[in-house]
Amino acid sequence: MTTRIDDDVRALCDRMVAADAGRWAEPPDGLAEQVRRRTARRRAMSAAVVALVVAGAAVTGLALGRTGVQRVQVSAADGSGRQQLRKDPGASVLTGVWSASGVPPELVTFVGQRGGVTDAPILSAPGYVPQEVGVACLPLADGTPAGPASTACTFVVKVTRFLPSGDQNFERLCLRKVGTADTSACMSSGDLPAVPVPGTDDEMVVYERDSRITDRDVVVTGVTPNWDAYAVPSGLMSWVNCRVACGGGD
Amino acid sequence: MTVQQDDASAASDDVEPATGVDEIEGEAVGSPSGSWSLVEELYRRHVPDARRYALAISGDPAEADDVVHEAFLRVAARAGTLRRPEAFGAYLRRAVVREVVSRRRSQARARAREERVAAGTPLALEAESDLIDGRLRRALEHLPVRQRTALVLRAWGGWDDRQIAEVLRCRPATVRSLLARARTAIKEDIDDDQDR
Repeated sequence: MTTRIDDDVRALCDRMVAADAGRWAEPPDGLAEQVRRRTARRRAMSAAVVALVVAGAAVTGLALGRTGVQRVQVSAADGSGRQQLRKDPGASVLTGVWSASGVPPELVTFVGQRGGVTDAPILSAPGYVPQEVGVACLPLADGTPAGPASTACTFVVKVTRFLPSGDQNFERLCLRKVGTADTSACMSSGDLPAVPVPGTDDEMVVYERDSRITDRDVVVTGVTPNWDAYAVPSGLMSWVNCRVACGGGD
Repeated sequence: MTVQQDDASAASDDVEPATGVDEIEGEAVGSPSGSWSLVEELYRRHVPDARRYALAISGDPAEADDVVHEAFLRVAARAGTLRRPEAFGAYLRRAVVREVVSRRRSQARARAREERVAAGTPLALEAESDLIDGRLRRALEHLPVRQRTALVLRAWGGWDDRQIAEVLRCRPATVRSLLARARTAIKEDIDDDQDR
């Protein structure tokens, strides 16, 4: 039966792909531009993660100084991107650059290493708590946040609280489908129109989905018109629990 | 039907920059000199094969479109940091498989699919071809996505346990379990269908 099922599955798949032959033979228009944008976005994410880890290592480095730890091994929770950061002689704070990218801060782990003993797990995940940054979604001025899902979806994200350090760089704004971890729709600050709000320290960021994210990047038609938004100031990530109605179905 | 499986295991996790691929990155991410053509060349060379995988595993041409496009953008955008840039096709294939699995495992998609099945609405592929064995296709649709993926990669793609385990991020023993459960479930599903 095993062989028979495998043979049948193979034949079925052959028929499916044969019926589909010829599609996608040529690149779609604008492919190179989409790759360029994705590359830029990825690099922005890499920079953000580096900033995160430097900050995280600084936090842990202070504690590690009391335990004689000279090095910290940093990696994603699944062990990927493992890299060793070494404290400079005489320094009280360990800093370094981690080259892995795209790893959410809650999945970054730190393992300290002291002297000749390696992989001594004196510090484990999360080892670092992202500082909270407040953001909130606001309705549009005209009170009509919803539009056809396949066309424009404009909404406003307001940064309501900044880092205690005073670093107020608003680096990225991301959207994700509600209930998913799809973070493919992040944009770096260079692509975001940030508008200072008179009389406050806040910024209003207006994000027009149809002009910033193509339907190819993130498909919003159909199942759910809702999105979560999150902001990434200075490499720290904070999801916001606001949902943006983007489409007439909700 | 020839299915490429060479280098399927080459595209392991690849966050470390490869030495000497700067020139690849320069081309892949584009430059004023017009090297964007490499992107299109990569597309022509590798997307048809990747799309076959997306379609075989998902069974849904529309989903396969989205999966392949997203996977291509993802892999092409990091062409400069691939450990083995010459194995672009293998990276893309793995990205496609993982994208299908990821999408299918999301609650929203699973819920939507359940609703479609419950409502008796034919899936996209159902209306496309009378050639396809409806019972087997429905049985495949009923499988959990990891079981289905493992079975398609083995039966159609010719992947071995280790290759499937790598892309599904599990142990080879788990792959064998997935395959056994998938075959049993399909047999039972088809038998039930015949009894009706």
